[in-house]
Amino acid sequence: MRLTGPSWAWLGGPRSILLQAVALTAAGVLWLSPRFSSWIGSWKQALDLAAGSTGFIGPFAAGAACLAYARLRRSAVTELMAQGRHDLRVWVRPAVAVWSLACAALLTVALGATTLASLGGVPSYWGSVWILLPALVVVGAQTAIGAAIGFRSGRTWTAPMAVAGVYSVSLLMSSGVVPEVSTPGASPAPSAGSVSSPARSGHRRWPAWASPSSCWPPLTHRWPGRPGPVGSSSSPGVPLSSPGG
Amino acid sequence: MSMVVDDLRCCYSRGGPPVLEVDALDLEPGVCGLVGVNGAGKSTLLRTLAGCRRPENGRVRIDEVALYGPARRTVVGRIGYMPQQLDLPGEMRVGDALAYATWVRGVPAAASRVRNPTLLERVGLARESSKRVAQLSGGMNRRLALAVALVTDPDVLLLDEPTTGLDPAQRAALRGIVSDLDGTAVTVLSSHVMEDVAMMASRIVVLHEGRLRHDGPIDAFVAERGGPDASAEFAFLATIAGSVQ
Repeated sequence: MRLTGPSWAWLGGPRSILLQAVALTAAGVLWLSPRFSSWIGSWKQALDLAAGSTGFIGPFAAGAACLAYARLRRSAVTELMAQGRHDLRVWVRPAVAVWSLACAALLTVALGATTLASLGGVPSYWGSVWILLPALVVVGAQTAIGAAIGFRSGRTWTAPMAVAGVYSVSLLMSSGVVPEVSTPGASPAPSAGSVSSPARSGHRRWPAWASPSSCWPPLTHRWPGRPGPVGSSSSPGVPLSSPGG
Repeated sequence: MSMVVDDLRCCYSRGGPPVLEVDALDLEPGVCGLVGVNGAGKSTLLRTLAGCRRPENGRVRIDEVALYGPARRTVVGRIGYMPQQLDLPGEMRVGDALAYATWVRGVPAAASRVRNPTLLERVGLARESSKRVAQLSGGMNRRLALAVALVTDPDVLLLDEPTTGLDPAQRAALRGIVSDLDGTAVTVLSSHVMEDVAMMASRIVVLHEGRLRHDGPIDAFVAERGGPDASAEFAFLATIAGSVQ
């Protein structure tokens, strides 16, 4: 893959782009590692928590997009863009590039986690992989927020603020302070086909991507019939399959 | 080929005082010097002529087609614009940066692959095509910006202070390049360095406080207003001071 084409123009050179890809993947790994004991014995739980790594990958992606668009805004290339004939494509390319890096990181993390779980001898449930799609959409939204902040401000120093802002908004959503659209946390357990918590069914009014309990490493939940603690899945719904997969 | 401006008015804020008011301006093939002190409205006029800034009032037409009308796409590609400062990504190689600018302007990739090496040759950057943009000197950067302005093989070429900040040798080199351009294009050269304008342009337009103060052949302008030494600078100062109307 050439990292010098139009898509990558505002993400820095090839080295910087690779660094961003590594950082995004590391963010996903950082998300998963404190929860190691909860997913290593379950393929579905591994997939579920990997999908929830948007909690860290998304804010990083927002920061990268913010940086790219701030640079773009400060250059006079926006004048050339205003003159261009295929307007929208030119404007969204940097965001799409950041998003694709974040998607690659998320998929890498998911592949790594599920492979590790498989190595433990648990069966794979490839039919549940679709739960990664909403996670990718969430990352796209977080990237778009970062891009908007960067373009609006035109200042590169707003990138850390975009990271903190997106992460804070996700936390607020997960704690119910603001309507929940995307939160740092795993995808709903039923989506993962893992388990659900009947005690909490029907309590959420907004679509849930994750539970607040999945935001912090201390894992206190015990799902019915599960040998170890699990911390992510708590959304209402009907399980797609029996626990322990 | 002509560019016609009618009843143009630009404001920085809605309902605010106009920063640029041009009742009529007819631009024909050849180099026209646009001069004025800082803040006179030169860049605003050029950005409006380039299609980057919609005026609050008035029309800009190229061969009777309105630049800000429904057929904008058919004419905007015929305009080449060199902004005062063009910051292409510093980590890009010169050849890639030009290819990127070409893509932004909507030139088909096949055409740009053929044209771009010729363009770099024309502006004297062929040997620097594999250098990074950040490694270019100020003069080379301006030449790259000129190459960017030429990517669409424009019929209208708008150069915003192309020689500002350059040393005398680099200014002379850039003047040489502009003088060698095809004379069939409408070229507007904005500058507050009268020496440059006197050497490159055949016509002069003086802009002061957002209004046209003079429009005519440069020879007559200097002869009539340049004092005993026939100085272009003196003629300009006399014009903006209003001593000669």
